[in-house]
Amino acid sequence: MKNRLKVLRAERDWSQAELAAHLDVSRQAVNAIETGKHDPSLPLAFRIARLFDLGIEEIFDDGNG
Amino acid sequence: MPLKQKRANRFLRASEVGLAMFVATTLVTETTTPEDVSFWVRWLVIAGISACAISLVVMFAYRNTDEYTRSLWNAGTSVSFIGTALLLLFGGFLEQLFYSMFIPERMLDPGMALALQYAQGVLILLFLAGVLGKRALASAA
Repeated sequence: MKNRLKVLRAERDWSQAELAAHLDVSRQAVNAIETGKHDPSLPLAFRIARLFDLGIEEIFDDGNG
Repeated sequence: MPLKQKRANRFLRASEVGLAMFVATTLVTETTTPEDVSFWVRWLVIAGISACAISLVVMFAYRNTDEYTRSLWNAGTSVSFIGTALLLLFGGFLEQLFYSMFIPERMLDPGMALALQYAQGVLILLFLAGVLGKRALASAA
């Protein structure tokens, strides 16, 4: 699933490791989400949205919007 | 480094080490006879098999580190299950079919079917390949 996670992370000048620490996941999980290799679960998607103070659909694009 | 990151690293390194050790020891054991193998090579094979086994234990222990490691574990178990099931269900039949068509003089004792002999190795190989394949190739789209 396409997402803006990398862009949002860069805006805050966070490394993948720092974002992973904020989300309580591994750095590899962040990398997999950014590259579209892994879709986050709903709880993780909500944590991401709350962290960036955005709606889930403002971060993730399933291609049907 | 956060504990979760350390655990994830251990899971991922274990999958790489496990596959490398499995392939290496399989190559050695399948291309040599016990008489050809020196004392030290024999012990290296034992060490390699042990390293592979320890890798699987480490992967099992850390599979629930986060949802990503969980998804990798699930991918490995799914690939391993379906591959081994197909091998056990159809491997013997296909093997017999092949021999009956091309080497009719070779009559197999069902207990000696290659599918049965190699099922345990295929199970482990497919699991590790599934984990690393998901990690390398999977597209969530």
